[in-house]
Amino acid sequence: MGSSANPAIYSKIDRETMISVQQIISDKWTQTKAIPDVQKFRYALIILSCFMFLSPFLIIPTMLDSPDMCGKLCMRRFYLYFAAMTWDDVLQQMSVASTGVIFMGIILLTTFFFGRLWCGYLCPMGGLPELVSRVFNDRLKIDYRPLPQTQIRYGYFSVYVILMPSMGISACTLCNFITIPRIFEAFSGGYRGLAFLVSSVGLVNLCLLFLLGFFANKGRAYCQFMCPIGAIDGLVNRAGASMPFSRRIRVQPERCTGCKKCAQVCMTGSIQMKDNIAIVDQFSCMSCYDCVESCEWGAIDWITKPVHHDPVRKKKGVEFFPTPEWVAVHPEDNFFVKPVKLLGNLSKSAEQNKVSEPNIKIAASHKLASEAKKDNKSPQKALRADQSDTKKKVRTKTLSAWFISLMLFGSMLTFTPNQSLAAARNIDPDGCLVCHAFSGLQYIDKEDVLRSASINEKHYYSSLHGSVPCRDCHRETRAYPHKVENTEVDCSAACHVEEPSVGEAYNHQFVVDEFNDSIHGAGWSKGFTGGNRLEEINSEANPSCRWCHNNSLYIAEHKMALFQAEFKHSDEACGNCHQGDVWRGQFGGHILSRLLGARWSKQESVEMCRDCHDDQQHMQDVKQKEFNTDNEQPLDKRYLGVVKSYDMTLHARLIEANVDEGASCIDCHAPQDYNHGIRQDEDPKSPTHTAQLGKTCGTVACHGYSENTNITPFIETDMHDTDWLMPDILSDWDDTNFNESGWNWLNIILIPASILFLIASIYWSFFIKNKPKTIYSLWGGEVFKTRMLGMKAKKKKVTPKEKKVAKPKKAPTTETTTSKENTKATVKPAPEQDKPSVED
Amino acid sequence: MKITNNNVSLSIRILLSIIFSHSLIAIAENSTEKQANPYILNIETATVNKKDLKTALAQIQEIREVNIKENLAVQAFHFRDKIQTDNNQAFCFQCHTNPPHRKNEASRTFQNMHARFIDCTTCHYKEKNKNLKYQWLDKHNESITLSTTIQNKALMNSGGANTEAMQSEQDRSLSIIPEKGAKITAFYKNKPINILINSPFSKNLEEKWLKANEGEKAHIKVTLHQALKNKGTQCKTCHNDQQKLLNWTSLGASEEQILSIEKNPIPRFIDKANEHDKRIQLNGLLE
Repeated sequence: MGSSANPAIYSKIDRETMISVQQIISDKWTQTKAIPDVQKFRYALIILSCFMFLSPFLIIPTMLDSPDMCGKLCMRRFYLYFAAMTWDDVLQQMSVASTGVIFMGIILLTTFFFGRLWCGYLCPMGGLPELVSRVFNDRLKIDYRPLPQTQIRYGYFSVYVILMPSMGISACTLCNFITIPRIFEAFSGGYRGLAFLVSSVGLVNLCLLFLLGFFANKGRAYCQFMCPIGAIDGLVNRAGASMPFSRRIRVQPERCTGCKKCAQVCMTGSIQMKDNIAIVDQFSCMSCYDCVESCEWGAIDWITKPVHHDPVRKKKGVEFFPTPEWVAVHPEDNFFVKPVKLLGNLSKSAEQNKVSEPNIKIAASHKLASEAKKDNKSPQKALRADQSDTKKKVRTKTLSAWFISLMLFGSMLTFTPNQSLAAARNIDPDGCLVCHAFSGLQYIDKEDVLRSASINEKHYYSSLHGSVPCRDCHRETRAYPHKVENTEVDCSAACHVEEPSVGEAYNHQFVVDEFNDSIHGAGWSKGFTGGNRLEEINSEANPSCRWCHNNSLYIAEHKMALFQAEFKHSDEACGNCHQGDVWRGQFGGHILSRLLGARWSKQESVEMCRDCHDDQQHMQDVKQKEFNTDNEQPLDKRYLGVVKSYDMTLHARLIEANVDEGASCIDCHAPQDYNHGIRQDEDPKSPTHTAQLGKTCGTVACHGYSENTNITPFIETDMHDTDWLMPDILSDWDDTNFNESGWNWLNIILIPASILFLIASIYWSFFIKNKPKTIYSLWGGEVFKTRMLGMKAKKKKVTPKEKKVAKPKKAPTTETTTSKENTKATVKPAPEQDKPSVED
Repeated sequence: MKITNNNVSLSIRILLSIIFSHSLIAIAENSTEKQANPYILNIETATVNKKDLKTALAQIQEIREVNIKENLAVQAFHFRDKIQTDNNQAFCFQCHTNPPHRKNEASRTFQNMHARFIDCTTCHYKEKNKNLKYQWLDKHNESITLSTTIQNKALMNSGGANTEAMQSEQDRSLSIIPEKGAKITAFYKNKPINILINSPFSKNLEEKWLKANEGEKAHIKVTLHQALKNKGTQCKTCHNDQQKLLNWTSLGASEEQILSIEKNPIPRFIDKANEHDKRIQLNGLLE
């Protein structure tokens, strides 16, 4: 049989006949059937977790109150170190990702005792590329496994966790963990997913998924090098491995024959052959069990630390133990292997395949036989009963899981907010509500707008303007039918409500002044009538007062219960000094409503800005004014896409998940003291001006460290990065736009490479007949053989003279190094295919 | 007028279409219903004169499509109740907008308010025989008798003029509307004379209308409107303590409610505004 090391074998492959699709399917089916049971179980778990964690179902994130794997559930951000961080900042980061912290804790705890089960069995972000990669043949792939992964991983990790945040580079821009959730989101119709996939950053990440996932040998290159969760998990895995009680994939060197099979199948490249003994690198091992099933001698297993601590001798870091002890491969009390074993029993074909595991088979049949004796049954019957019992258990478990998730989903649907209205505060002095309180006073005006003259009486009395008589705003209304110009409202006009601290008539003049001075200042602040709304929409690019504000309830509906509870309490608290219903009615409610906080939730305020700024048609009419000059120009791509680019940030995602730590538009553009004074970034008075940003980002409960020191890049992180937008090929193709983003340049290299890999791999994997049994990757395969499998390097060029000399050396080269040093060289049957051969 | 081939062929076509459509109606409609509903009878037996046809044709040529604009980007400042369209809409809304009254500035909002619980035919049907009775009709097109009215009122099923605004039971008791979507409708021999939008007659009409040309459309328009009057009943016809049209007691109103309906100053105020056809001072409400 030809050696796999010989590239000549590939020239022998029959390429003349293309395989039919039927053939491909049947081939794949036989291959799938040959997959060991534990691996089938593992793959199924990964697929299940894809359903549980990713769109469209998002079962677990929804249960944990998170929009997806971002926000509360984010496990990648809370340990980032930003320069001059205090403990408070760390705690704040942790509180934002509270669920993620708990989740991470659980993962690390299980890792400490049982190995990296999350990474190997559950993580959809690592699991899915692995599964896809396994569909393709390994030949046309890149083998990353021989690279010094520990060094690269922790090097990158320290850069990710310390260096880049210290330089102020935001973590979410770098987050490539999110690619797979986004792909799922895109295919389930989520706009954010689609936007991600076509943005410059998204394309780079997509290509990385191809090159480090789908077309990496065994598809785990991302986990090996870049995943921060994996890096931490790896550290804990290594730390736990030295404990005698922790279960890990461990090699019993006295049993190892040096056949290299485990190292070949290891998806993380954590098994290295040293002196023909497999060594497991616990920094990288994910306990995937692939090696255990490949080993025909039970030399490698998921076990606690062997009892023998003192090796007889140590050579080149390999420990040799004196007495080989023939123990059962799977002890009865093996906690984790048990369900796997049950599943294993289900498949007859799998048992037939497992000739190489005599112990387990004997043990199993012994057990069954003894059970059968008790019940006077034949062993076959007992086996069957055993099978059906397991099937039942599995079925009830899955059924109950589905039932619970359905229940949760249903309970979410039935949730509705409570209605609450306060009592009337004022009677109607002008008698307007005699008519206007009738509901259904509708008509269609000349512009086909459905108008309503009705005013909900109860709502009005409970509203912000409930104590303001109608005529205070609609001043000149004296005739019927009302003259339109007589109903006009001026928001800066004073009304009859007295401001208690100064005893003067209240007005919104200061708000209007502030508004007129802002970027929106050209908008209306007076001349409002019910009828000119359409006119305003059609003629004005700037918002007016009423564009954002309407006569909302004095106490927002969702705060009513809290307000009522506090109001009762106020009698005890405030009532000690301020007695009497008059005080309580007049001021108590007012003060309490202030104490309850903002009327609008952050979500609502974002929604409000989004209404205009996300309306492309509306924004086309807006002109961008240069600061301090009168030059006007149409809005550029950045301004047109402000909402879309904001949506991709963590700020937006947190708000979407109703986490108050997120930052709304107003939080940055009009924080506390700025109110209506939203200005353009170039304006030194603007809270988003470079000089003010440190202060703005550092406001209450946000990035406290941003004000402490000068970490300029952090506070200058672009929250409206055009790289997150769909690249517009026509307009972006000019040099300036293109050069602005490094991501574009990366894409020039990565996209063609990914496409090439895709086409070539599909062709090779599905349409080529008679492939060799053991396949090494074209890129990195040779290095893998020499570095990981300890095989001899391929000779580069052999001159005819040297060839003659080399020929007699053929026999010794096979195992020269190993036979000398290995004690068991004589016992080991070295598999034929792994013998390195010399070109002839 | 000179008789041309064109004119003859047009009139023949119209005649044929009428015969055809009427036969269709006859098949579609229940014969008993046909007998019972004087409005349908009026439509079928309508005689079309040329003057009417001409004005109808001119009106049809002026028709423009109305796309009602709702939920503008700039929302109304004051909170309004959401008005839901009822199921038992009259077939009039196949052509007319809902709300229908648009022209009269002084009364359109009040008329439209009333259109939510009073059927179109109640005000706009030319009352040729005096045998019409006015009674509540529920949304399933079944009449609500006095006993059921009281029963429904006891159940506090719905609101009234202030339908959606009503929150407490006290408010609901102010209204005489027995249930949501109920309308005061004219009954002839215990059968309502209104035609519903989902009845076979109106479906048939829609089909016919879509196929018709302008001349035919004008003809249909005239036949449909012949039994109706353009200007509906005046406010004071019902809001008047001398009125004989509606029997408040049989409609389920209490003494207090009757008083508040008949003595209400708003109808008189609006009638006054309509009379003068100009703006009047609001303090006129005080009388």
